[in-house]
Amino acid sequence: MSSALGEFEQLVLIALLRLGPDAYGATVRREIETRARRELSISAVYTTLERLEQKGLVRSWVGDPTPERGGRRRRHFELSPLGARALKAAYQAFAGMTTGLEQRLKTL
Amino acid sequence: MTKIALAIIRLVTPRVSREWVIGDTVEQLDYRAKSEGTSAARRWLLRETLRIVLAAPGHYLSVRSRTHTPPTVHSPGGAATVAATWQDVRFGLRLLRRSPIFTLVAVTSLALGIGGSAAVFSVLNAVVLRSLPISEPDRFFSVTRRHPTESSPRFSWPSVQGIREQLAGHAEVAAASAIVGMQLHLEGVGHGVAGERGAVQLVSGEYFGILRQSPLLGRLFTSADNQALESHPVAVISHGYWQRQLGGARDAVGRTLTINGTPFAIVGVARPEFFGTNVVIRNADVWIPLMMQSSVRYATGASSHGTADSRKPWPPQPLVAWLTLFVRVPKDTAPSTVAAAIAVRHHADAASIRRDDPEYIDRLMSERITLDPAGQGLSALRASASTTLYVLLAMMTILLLISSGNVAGLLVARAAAREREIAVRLSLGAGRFRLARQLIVESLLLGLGGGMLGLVIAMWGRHLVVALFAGGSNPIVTLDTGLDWRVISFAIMVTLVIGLACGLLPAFRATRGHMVESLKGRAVLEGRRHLFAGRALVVMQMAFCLLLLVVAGLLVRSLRTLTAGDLGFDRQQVLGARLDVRSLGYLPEQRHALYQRVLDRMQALPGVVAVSMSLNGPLTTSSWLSGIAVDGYTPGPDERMQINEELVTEQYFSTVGLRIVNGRTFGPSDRGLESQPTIINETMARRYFAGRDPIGKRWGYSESMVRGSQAFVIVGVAEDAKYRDLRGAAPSMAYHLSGPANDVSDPLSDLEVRTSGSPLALVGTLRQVLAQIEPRMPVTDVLPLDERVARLAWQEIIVARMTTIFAGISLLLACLGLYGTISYGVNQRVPEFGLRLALGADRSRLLKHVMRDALMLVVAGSTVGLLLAYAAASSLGNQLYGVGPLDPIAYVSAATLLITVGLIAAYLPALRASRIEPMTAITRN
Repeated sequence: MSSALGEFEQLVLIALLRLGPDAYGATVRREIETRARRELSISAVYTTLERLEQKGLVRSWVGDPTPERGGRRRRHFELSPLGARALKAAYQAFAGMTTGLEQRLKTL
Repeated sequence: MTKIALAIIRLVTPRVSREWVIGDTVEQLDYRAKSEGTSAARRWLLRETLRIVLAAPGHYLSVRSRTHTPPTVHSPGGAATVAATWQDVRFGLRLLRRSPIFTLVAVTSLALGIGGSAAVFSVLNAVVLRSLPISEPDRFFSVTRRHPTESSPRFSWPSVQGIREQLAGHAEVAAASAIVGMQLHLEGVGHGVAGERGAVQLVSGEYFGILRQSPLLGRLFTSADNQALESHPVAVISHGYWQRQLGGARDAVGRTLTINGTPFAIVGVARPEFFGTNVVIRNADVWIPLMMQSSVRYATGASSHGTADSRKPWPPQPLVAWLTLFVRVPKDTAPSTVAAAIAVRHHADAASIRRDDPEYIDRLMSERITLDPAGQGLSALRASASTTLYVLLAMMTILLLISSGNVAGLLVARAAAREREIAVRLSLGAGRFRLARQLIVESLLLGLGGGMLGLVIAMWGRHLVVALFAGGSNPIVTLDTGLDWRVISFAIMVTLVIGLACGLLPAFRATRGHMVESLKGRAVLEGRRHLFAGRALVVMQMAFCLLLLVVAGLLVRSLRTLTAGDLGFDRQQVLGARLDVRSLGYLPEQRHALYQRVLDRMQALPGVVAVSMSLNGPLTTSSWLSGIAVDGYTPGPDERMQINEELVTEQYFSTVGLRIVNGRTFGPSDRGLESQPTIINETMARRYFAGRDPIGKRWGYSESMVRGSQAFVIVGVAEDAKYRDLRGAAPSMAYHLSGPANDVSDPLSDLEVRTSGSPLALVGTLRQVLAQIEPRMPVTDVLPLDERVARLAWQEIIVARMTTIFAGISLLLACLGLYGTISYGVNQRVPEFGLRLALGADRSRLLKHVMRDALMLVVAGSTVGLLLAYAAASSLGNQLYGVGPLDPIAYVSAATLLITVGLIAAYLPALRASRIEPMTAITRN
């Protein structure tokens, strides 16, 4: 997978990593909203997740109906090995670029 | 709300993702509600819905690509069309953002037009179209007594009770008085001595029940509030009054409200949406039980007959009709059945009191009863203002057409400028339909922007329209002109139509183009091809503009005839004032002493020529109508002998400037006479004493009265004058001399002062002197008589003023359109003109050429406009007074104005054409 990850794609992948087995649309969105402090729509989350799935970076399956969602099912997502590698590569690139700059970035 | 939002989300989400998207949204809503509260969560849902709608095309694309179908923009249908249209929208937005001035001008002119029409429409909606905010308004009726010669909506309280008994178990019955201004004084709220004016309505205990109302605070009235005369000192206040005067205080119930001097306990507050049964600018602030009529000295809108004594309390008297009767008819019952039952009871009741006034009872017996739908509320405003509102709406719509003509013109010019881009896209295989759609999407976007901004303008503009109708500075308005679904759909409809109309022409023009020529760059003489569409637009604008100019001219001329004409009075140098003597609660002797004090003090002021008082006064909206009998006059079979009566003090005729044409005026010798001297006017003399000398003749309210010692004796004939109705002929009038021996229930309420200088100079002194005489007496409307004419003609003034403003704006817009089109044409033809000049053409001939071109457009527009104007003017009908729909002055001056201003607008580009430098022009391309 040669193509670089978009910024929003990175945020989504990190959210999947953090959430583990709890990752589905609503939790991914909540994770990004609370940590990255940006309000976004659920369809933007799904659009990105579906694109990532096409690229083979993400896998998904449909869960059982739950009562708090009015009996609707959830679609769960998780990182694929390819996705994990892409995320790692992106992180390493970012970390490499920012090494030694931590203080300055904070005071910008 | 939540359901609607979820339905929208469901609608715009691809089917494969629907389940989890909705599920996640529900879950998140729940989560937000728990952490931030329900209302914050709801607001979030609104934002989320909007975001999902905006992101929907992208979502569709991602889903489609997952199923490996390549997206095609050429095949219309399904998700591809959605995505492609979305692309158009985004492309359109980008283009509009790139030319902010164009966008601003276009959106603003559309917004003004759409906003203006929506504002007028929202008032029209409130006054004419909307139902009362009550349940099942279509089962709610008012009752009218119909007689071949006259109809009356009024019933006496005993009659209402009889009818309620008759209908018990079949239909509900309630009664209400007119809404009148009274002096209100709230305990603990400072207003000065006299308190403030408020609108009060007297109602039966069933009133709120029949309207299915529940209180916001405290209680509303019930049948228990109808029991005994003068012993229900309780009041329900409107939500608006509660907010205005009590600041929405929770402890409002139980406080004391003094109405015309009588204390009432506030027992309840009505709900905010409830405004009663009348659709008027200012509705009732306070409702009180009708049993309290005499306690608050209510004395409006009654007809009394025979043995009735209007000085005694009205509720027990069967011959004083003063209440509007409302009926709620159950779904399974026909209104006609109820009407028949009411008629039976009405006639039976009338028969039982026959001895009291046989003539009147005979008439009652021949009356029919009808039920009139009252679900929209009763409205004098509706009857009087709906024509005005429709005229305003029509004018506003025409203005909107003219301004959208300008926007369409701008779009045509833009499309022409983008010809090369369009040609490139065509040659690369873009479909013509797709291109046209793109242009239409662009103009719809402009329309949408205009529509949204227009709604904001309407929110604010509707108050302006209502204020126009209410008159006065800072009036209290309780008319609810809220933007309901009707107004919103009106605005959406107008927006769509205008958006489409503006876009169709350029879209059609642009995509019909010749690809190859456009790609090559244009030939020297080829520019004209673009002009036709723009020129057609200008002709249309000119036509509509002339229509507005002619209508404005007709209305202004009609208004002038109406208000500047001779009304009979000598209106110059007379100051009038309204005095509320009734609220003082004086005995008859005290009143007459007060009148005398007022007259004496006023007469002694420097600059005062004459002073008088009268019951209703000249050029006010009150009148006193009576059926009469005249000595030596036999009426025809169905003839109604009805006149206006007026009660005046001795100097009335000299004060208001009415000459006595026969006999004499009132004098000191008439005071305390046994016989009752009256002065009649010329119209009454002509009608009842044709060919006879009326002096010394007798008349009265019935044949028996004419023969008895109580008859009125005519001592003089005064000049005719118009009193309430400026349009019709002067009414028959009879004047009585006011005095203790001639006291009616109503006190004199009008003061007239003839001054030697400007009447306005006396306003302050007049108020001062009146306050010294009786500080508790409310004094209102201290105005010269000329101003009263303006108040009577307020509707005509509004329409004339608004139409003139609209016509002015339309003239400006239409000439901008003309200027733009001519200017654009000259620009297109710069190379041609340069060539002509180089070949030896005369500069002045070029100028003339362009001017002739412009003149042709203006004349063509004016010709069409004259025809339109004639059609419009003939439909104005009774809006015109003293001016025919073909009034030449209006037409000629409108056409002259339009042509002059049009030529001025065309002169600048024409001048530019004549100053072209041949060399630079030819080498420009």
